[in-house]
Amino acid sequence: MKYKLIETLDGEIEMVKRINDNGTESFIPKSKSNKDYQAYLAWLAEGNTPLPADEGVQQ
Amino acid sequence: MTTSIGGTTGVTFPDLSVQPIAAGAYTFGFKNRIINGGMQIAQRGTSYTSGENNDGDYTLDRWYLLSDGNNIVDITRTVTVPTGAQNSIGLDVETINKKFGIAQIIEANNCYDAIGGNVTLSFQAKVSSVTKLDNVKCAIVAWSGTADVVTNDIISAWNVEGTNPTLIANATYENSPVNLNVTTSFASYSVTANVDTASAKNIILFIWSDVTDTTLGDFLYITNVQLEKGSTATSFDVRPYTTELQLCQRYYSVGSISNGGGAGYKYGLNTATTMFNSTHTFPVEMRDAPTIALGTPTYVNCSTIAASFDGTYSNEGFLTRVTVTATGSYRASGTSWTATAEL
Repeated sequence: MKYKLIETLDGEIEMVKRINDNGTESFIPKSKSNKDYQAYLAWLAEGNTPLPADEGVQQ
Repeated sequence: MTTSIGGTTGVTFPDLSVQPIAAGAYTFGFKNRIINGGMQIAQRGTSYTSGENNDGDYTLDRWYLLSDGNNIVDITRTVTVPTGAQNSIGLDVETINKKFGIAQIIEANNCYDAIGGNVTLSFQAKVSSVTKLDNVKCAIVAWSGTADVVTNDIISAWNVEGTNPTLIANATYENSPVNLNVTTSFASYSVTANVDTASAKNIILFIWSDVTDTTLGDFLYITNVQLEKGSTATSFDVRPYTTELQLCQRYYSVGSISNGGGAGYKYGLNTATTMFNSTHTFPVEMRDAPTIALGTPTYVNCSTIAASFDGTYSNEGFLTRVTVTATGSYRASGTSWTATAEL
């Protein structure tokens, strides 16, 4: 399992994409009461680093 | 015929109907705090096998599996039911000699008024054989951590056969779980407890097999689960199907990217540009901004669909974007989404 950051159109980090072991993806909002975001924060606290957001033009 | 009062029968009315017990104080409105206690709603599917039946996985709506390892039991929505029920949850032993059960966390908004008083848990259950599956228990558990920030895996140690599992910090048994002696015929079981743990915020229901010498193919069936205020188990509260579904959709919902904006073509001015694809409104306001999962759509002149809240996360809906790959009309459609805001 990996995490990847997703930016808004303004370049802010809006969500975290979880790339699951089976290849599926989940989009996790930065809400502290979301269970998946809590798991992401715990993963960060273990010293892990997410993949950076893609660079590109957004409209 | 007149109304009569019998010392043992209760009150008999002119139409010969009998009310054997006094009306309870909590028999109207949201009597049953358990959602999908009748096991009807199955938005994720009706069968959960290896890969979908891990310890902690959600199964039938609002119910998640607690087991001493993964793939301990397959889960199905069954029609093996007692009189008057439509469905039950069937737990089918896949890995022998392990404890297993189901649990539901009640949102603080739906149990705050029950905390500090007596509550009664009732349900109907049976087993396929009592040769091994001869110790089924149930528990009313208080959660005294942060409201609605509940650690799903409330078990810190499953322990030996007959010894109740040890709970994690902030989780407390409010009753003393004992062997219910569930048989091969459906019967009703109930326990009452005072939810008196200091600072309790959530109530968790937990029903499990406490034996460690199970046989492959043993089944435990459970249905009509109810938690109500007071010290008396009353009849199971059958709610309208739509009501029950909407109660579930606060925590999990599904939809299609063939509906709404996803079906229409948009016009891309540039290639390699992330652009709007579709908007989606959740069927009901969800408990929290949910985690979104998307299927693989059919792409036309675009790729890489992604969910977005357009800057501010929301429990009301979301949108999708795609990367446009060619100038001209584009769209991504023909797949589904799921939104998860479980406790």
